[in-house]
Amino acid sequence: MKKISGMVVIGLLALFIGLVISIQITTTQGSDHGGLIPYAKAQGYLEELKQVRTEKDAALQELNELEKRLEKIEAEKANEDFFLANLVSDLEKYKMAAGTVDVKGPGVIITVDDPIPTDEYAGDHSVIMLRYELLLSLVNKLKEAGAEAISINGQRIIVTTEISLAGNNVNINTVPTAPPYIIKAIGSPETIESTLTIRFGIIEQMRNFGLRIQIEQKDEIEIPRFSGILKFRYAKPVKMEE
Amino acid sequence: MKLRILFVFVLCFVIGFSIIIQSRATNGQQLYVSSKTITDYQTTIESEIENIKQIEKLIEKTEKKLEEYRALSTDESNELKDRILQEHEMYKAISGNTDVQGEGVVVFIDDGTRELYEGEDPNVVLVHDMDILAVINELNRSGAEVISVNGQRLTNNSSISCSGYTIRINDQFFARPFVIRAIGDSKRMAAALVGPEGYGTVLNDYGIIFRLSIEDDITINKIAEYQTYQYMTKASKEE
Repeated sequence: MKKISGMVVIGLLALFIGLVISIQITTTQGSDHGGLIPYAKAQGYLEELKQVRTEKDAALQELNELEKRLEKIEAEKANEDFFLANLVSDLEKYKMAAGTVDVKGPGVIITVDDPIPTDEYAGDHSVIMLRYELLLSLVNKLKEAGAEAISINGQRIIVTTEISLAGNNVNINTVPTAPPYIIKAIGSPETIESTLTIRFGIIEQMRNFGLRIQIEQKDEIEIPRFSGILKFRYAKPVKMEE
Repeated sequence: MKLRILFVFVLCFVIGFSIIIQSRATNGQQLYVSSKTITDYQTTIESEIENIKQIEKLIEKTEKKLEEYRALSTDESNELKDRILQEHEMYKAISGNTDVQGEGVVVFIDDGTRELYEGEDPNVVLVHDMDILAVINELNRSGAEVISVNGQRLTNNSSISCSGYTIRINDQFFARPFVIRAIGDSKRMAAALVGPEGYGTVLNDYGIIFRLSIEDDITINKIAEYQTYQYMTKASKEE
């Protein structure tokens, strides 16, 4: 009797172990697509990214500090002079229209990511990067829906912004970018979302390529300024002839 | 007997342990990632570094300006005012509120006139908003400073969209042909568009009429009305 119960226990245990081993094998097979790299290595990059981002924040803060000081001098001068006061307030408006000011307001956040890699589709190239004209079209649709400020992965979209494939990267404002793309747009959240999600619209088009897209309406988002240097070298203001 | 109980206990322990490890490995994070994920991380890091470089340049520029302002603000003369006026002029031009002129290219795009092959889709020889967008993108890539389409100065908020037989630009309707004017490095822009792999060549191959000319003096008018913003406000950095 004792012998039989012992056998049953051992049998059950063997069954369990077999099950665990088979599960183990299937999970490792499931994630086998292309060259595999241990997650720990990715973690290292993630750490590096975090570090670089804090560095960037520090630089941005310094810039803000400097600009505040500049504005203070401008404001002090403007207090003494009515003409100058007008000039400074106009300047503010033009800077806003040029996209060189951090702005905030209601809007949407769209996340675009590559399809989930499967066995038949090796995840070694990026769908959204090869089809960057989808991003171009998406930005155009956002503007059409009345978006007042747009950024992609922190790059403010201004009138001279290009989205182009350069080598293996998509360059935006000459800065290389990679998926996932996080697109922020300030404007009427409802109008923007319904413009994009209309049947046969841009979002559906993108989803047909297998891209994973999420749209979120937000009460307040912040969009950074254009961080390049704006300067006209060829275009000169037309001189008014009196 | 006691030995057996101990044996079973150890086995149970091992199984419980392995189940925990198993569940950790599967529903937490992946143990392995694809090589694409790594390159994406690398590009993102590169991108942030590029961005920092830009910001550092801006900091340098702002520091210089601050120095200048400080020096000027102690003077009783009107120099600071002139400096602000200069800045004002520059941003006025950049935001599209000044007529500007300079060298650049004029691009003419029209629907194709060739005969269609049997069963060919007529859309192939018609100009669409994406074509115009792609040409503009290409111009921006090669350093265009100011662009207008059919006389409409493009701004940060300009959209271009097909609506039936017409194209809407800055909320005004236009029909074919399309004339895009761009001020900037004319040779570079021309080379980018009409080169062997340029977008102009691609359009021509489809049968769409695409012509480009380099001009020394192009004038682009300012935007028709000053833009007002309903939703966005300046984000103040008060902490």
